[in-house]
Amino acid sequence: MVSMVFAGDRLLAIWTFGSSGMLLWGVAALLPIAIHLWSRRKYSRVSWAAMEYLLAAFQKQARRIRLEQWVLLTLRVMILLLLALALADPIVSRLSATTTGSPQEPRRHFVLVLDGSYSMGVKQGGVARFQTAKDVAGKWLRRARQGDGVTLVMMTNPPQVVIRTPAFDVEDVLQEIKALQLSHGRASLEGTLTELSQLVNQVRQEQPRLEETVIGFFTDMGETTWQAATDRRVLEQLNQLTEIARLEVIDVGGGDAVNTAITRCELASDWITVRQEVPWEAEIQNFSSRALKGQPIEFWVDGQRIHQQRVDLEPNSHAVINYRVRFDRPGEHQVEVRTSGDALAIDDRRWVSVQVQETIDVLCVEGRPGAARYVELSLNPGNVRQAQIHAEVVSESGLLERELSRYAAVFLCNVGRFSLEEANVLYEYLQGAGTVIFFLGDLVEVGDYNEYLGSGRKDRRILPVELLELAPTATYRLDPLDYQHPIVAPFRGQVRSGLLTSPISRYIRAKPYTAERQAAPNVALRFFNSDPVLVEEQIGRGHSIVFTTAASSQSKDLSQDPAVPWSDLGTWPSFLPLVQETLAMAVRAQEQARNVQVGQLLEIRQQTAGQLERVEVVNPRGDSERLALHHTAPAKVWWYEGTSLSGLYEARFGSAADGSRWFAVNVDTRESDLTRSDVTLLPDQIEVADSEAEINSADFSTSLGRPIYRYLLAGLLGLLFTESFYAFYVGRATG
Amino acid sequence: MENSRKSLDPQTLANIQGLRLRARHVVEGYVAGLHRSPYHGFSIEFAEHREYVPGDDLRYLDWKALARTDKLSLKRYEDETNLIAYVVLDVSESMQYRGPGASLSKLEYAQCLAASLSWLILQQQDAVSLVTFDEQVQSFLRPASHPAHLQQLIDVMESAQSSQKTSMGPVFHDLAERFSKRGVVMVLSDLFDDPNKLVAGLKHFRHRQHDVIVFHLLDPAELEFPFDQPTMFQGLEQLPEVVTDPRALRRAYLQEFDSYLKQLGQQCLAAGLDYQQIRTDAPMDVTLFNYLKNRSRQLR
Repeated sequence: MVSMVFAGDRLLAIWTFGSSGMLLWGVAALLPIAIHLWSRRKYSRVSWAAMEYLLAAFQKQARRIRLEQWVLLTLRVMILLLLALALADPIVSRLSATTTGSPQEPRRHFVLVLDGSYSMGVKQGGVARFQTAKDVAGKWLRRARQGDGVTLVMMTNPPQVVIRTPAFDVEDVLQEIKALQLSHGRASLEGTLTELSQLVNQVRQEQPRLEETVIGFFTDMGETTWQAATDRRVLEQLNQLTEIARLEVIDVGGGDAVNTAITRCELASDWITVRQEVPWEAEIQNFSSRALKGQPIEFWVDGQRIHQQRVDLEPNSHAVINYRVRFDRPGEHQVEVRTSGDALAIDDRRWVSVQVQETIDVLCVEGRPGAARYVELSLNPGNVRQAQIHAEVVSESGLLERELSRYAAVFLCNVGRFSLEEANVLYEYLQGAGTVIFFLGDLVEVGDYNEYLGSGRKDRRILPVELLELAPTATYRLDPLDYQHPIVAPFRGQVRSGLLTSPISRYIRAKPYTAERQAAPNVALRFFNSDPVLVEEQIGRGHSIVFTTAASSQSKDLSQDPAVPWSDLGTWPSFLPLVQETLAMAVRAQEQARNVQVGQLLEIRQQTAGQLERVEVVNPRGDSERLALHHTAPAKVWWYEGTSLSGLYEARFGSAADGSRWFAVNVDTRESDLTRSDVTLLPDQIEVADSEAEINSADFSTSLGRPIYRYLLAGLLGLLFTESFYAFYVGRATG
Repeated sequence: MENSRKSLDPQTLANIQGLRLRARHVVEGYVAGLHRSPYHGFSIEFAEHREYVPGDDLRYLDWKALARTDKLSLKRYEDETNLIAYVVLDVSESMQYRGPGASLSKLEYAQCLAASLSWLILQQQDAVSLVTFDEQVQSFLRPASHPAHLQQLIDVMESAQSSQKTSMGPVFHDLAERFSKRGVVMVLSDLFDDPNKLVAGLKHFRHRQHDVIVFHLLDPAELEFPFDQPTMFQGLEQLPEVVTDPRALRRAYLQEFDSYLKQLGQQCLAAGLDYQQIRTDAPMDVTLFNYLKNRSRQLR
C-alpha cells in the first residue's frame, strides 16, 4: 500500500501545468455520460406484437450493444478529458528520481544572458560565435529541473529582456533562443547588470518559490564589453548581483580571429555640390596581430562599384584610402566602402548617404542693411555667379517668409528682437539639423533675446548663452582655448591668420547655460577676461552658435569720440575662415542627421509643402515598416527606432513626388576590436567555464521536462478519428 | 381497375365504418375489375365425367377426353355445389397491432379479408363457416350458404376481440376434429406461435382431407422494423418489455424474423399447405385477385 501511494505521488509529481485552470474543462467529460443517462430515460413507448423475435435478437445482441455503447462513451469522455489536459499545457519530466528531485530541493530561476554585441558574429570553423552561444545555452538549460523557471536577456545596448516572466516550458525557451538574431550594435555591461538586478528582484517578488537564482552569461568576453567590469561602479553592481544570484560566465570566444573593419568613410571636403569632383576618405583598420597583405578595398556609389584597390596592413594598424567622386545630378546618393576576407563580416562595409545640391544655400538676416555684408562676402568671396555657396540676404521680416529647411545655415546679424513665432520657427529649424549663427550688435535687445531665445523659453531654448550687459569699450584679446573646438581647430599653427589679433573693442557679456541637456554649450573662443566670444551648442540635431560681438563695423560705441566700432572682425583675415568653418559645421550637422550609428534614431521630417500622410521605412534586409506620425507641429516628424542592423535604410513617402530619403546606419567600430577581456579581473564569485566541452562534462542528467500538449493534441485527433470511424462502423453494423 | 384498386387500399378502407360496408366495397371493387370469374377455383377435386348436353358450360368440356374418345364429356367435381369454406380467424391480442406505416390493424385487415371472401363464396351459393380463436376457440358458426348468413358472420367477426395470447396448435387440433365435412380451411392469423406446433395443427386439417389456405398477415413495421429512437417495446400477449436503441437491434431482429418466416414457409410447403404472406399495407383487392388467380391456375 505504501509503495502504491509513493508511486502515485511520484506520478503526480512529474506533472506540472502551464494553465492549471484549464483542467476545469475536464468537468465537461461528464457531458457524454449525462447525455447517455438522459437518453436512457427519454424514450417512446410502442406496443409490439412480434416480441418473441425482438427478445431473441435482444438476448443475442445485448452484450455486443452494451460493449459498443461503453466503448463509444469511453471514447467521448476521453476526447473531452484529453482536450482539457491539452489546454492545461502539462509539462512532464522523465520518470526518474533525479528528474523530479525531492520536494525539499529549492526551485531555481535560471537567467540566460546572451551577448548580443556584433563581435559575436565572428565565424570560427564556419559557425558564428552567436550560434555557438545559442547552442551552448540550450545545453546549459538542461541542468534545470522540473518546476524551475527560465528568463532570457540579450546583452545589447540597451539590454533587451526577451522573456521577463519565468517560463516553465523548456521548449518555449529554446524556441525563443532559436529566434534570436544578432544585432549590429554593442553591448552595455552596466545596463545589463542594472536590468538583471531588477529582473531577479521582480521574479523573487512574483515567484517566491523560485528561491535560488543562477545567471549564465554566454559571451565572447570581448574587452569592449567586459572592460567595464573594472569600473568601480560596475564592479559594485557585479558584487551586489553575486549576493542574490550565482553568476556563471560561459566563454564562447576562444581562438584567434583576424578582423579588419572599415572604420571611417567620409567626405574630405567641407561640402559637396553637383558636378564638383570632391575627395572621399576611407580608413581600414587591421585589428589582428598579423600583417595582412593585399586587403581589398572597394568604393561603391549608388550601387555601382567605381573603384577597387588592395592595401597592405601592418598588425594593429590602419590605412587611409582617398578617392575622388563626382556627382552629375543633384539629389540623394549613397557611397559605400567595402572590404572582405576576415572572420567578422558585419564591420566590413560602411555607408554614407549624401544630399547633393546645385548650391549650398545660406540665409543671412540683417537687423540693419549692411549688417550681413561681410558674412555674405565671406561665403562667396569673389562674388562669383556660379559659386558653390549661395547666400541670400534679407531683412528681419524675411525670416518668416522663407522656408528655412532648404538652407544649410541661417546667419542672424545684429537682429534687434525676435517674436515668439520667429523663435518657434528657429527652434524647429534647429531640431531638423539646421544651424543658426547669431552675430550680436548695437541693435540687440538683451532682455528680449533672453526671454524669447534664452532661458525664458525653458526647454525650447535656442541661445547657448545668457546675455548680460555690454562690456566697456576696450581692446580685448582672444584666447583660442587650445584650438579644441572644430570651428577654430583649423587655426592651430596658423598665427598669421590673425585670429588672436582680431580687433574687438566691444561685445555683450554672456554666460553659457549650464548643461541641463545632454551636451553642454561649448566655448570655442573667449577673451582673456574669460568672457565668451564664440559659443556653440547642439540643439536638436542642429547647432546654435553665438558670436558675442558684431559682424560688421556698423555697430559703434557712440559715447566715444570719434565713435569706436564694436569690431573690425569682418574685415580681418580670420573672419572668412571662421564663417566658412561655421558653415562647414552646419553642413556636417545635416549630414550627421542622415548618417547615424546602429541603435540610433532616424528622424524623418517633412521638407516639402505637400501633405505627407504615410512614411514607410525599408531596412537593409528588405523588411518594410509603416511609421506612425511622431508629432506634427509645426513640421510633420516621424521617428524610426529599429536601426539594429547596419546598412542603408530607405524612407519612402506616400507620393512619388516626395520620393524617398536614404539613411546610412553604420556600426560603432569600437566593437570590431576582438581583444578579449582578462577573466581574472572578474570577481572571484563568478564561475567561468571556458569551453563548450566543460559544459558538456557537467552533470546534466536532469531535465526541465518536456511539454506534452502536442502529443495530447495528436492523441485527441486520433481519438476523434477513432470515434467517427467506430460510430460509423457501429451504425453500419446495426443499421 | 386502377381507380377501383386505389379505392381499395387499406387507407381508404380505414375510413369506411363497418365491416359489411368494407367487405362490400372490396367485393364490388374486386368484381368490377374481373373479366373472368375465378369462383370455380374453390372446387375441391375432379370426380367423374358426364355426357355433354346442350346448355352445359363449354368451359367444363374435357378437351383431352374429346380428342381421345371423340365424345363430348364434361368434367365433374366432387361437392361442386356444396363447398364448405371454414374461415378460421385469429383474434388474439397480437392481431390488434397496427404499426406506424399501416392504416388498419392486422385484425381489422383480416376481418375485412374474411368478410370479403365469405361474401364471394356465399354469392357462389357455397357454405361458409367461421371460427374465431385466441388460445382457444372463441366462437364457431356452423356452415351455411344462405345470404343472410353473411350478416351473422360479420356480426361475429366484429364482436371478436381478445386480450389473450395465441395457442394455435391445440386450437387447430380441436377444430380439425370439429370440421366434420371436407372443405377449404382458411386460416387468417399473424401466426406468432411456435411454427412446429402450429404447422402440426395445420397438418391435422390436411389429414382430414381439408384444403388449407394460410393467410399470414403481417404489419409492415414487423417486416421492416423502422424505429430509430430509443424505445420501450411493450410485449403484447403477456410478453415482457424491452428498452433499447432499435438501430442497434434492427439487423438482429430482421434476421430472427426472416428466419422464422423462412422456417414457416418451408414447413407449410412441405405439409402441402397454401401459404400466403399478406402485408397489411397492400390493397386488399390486389391481394384477393392475385391469390385467387394463382389458385385457379393451380387447380386447372
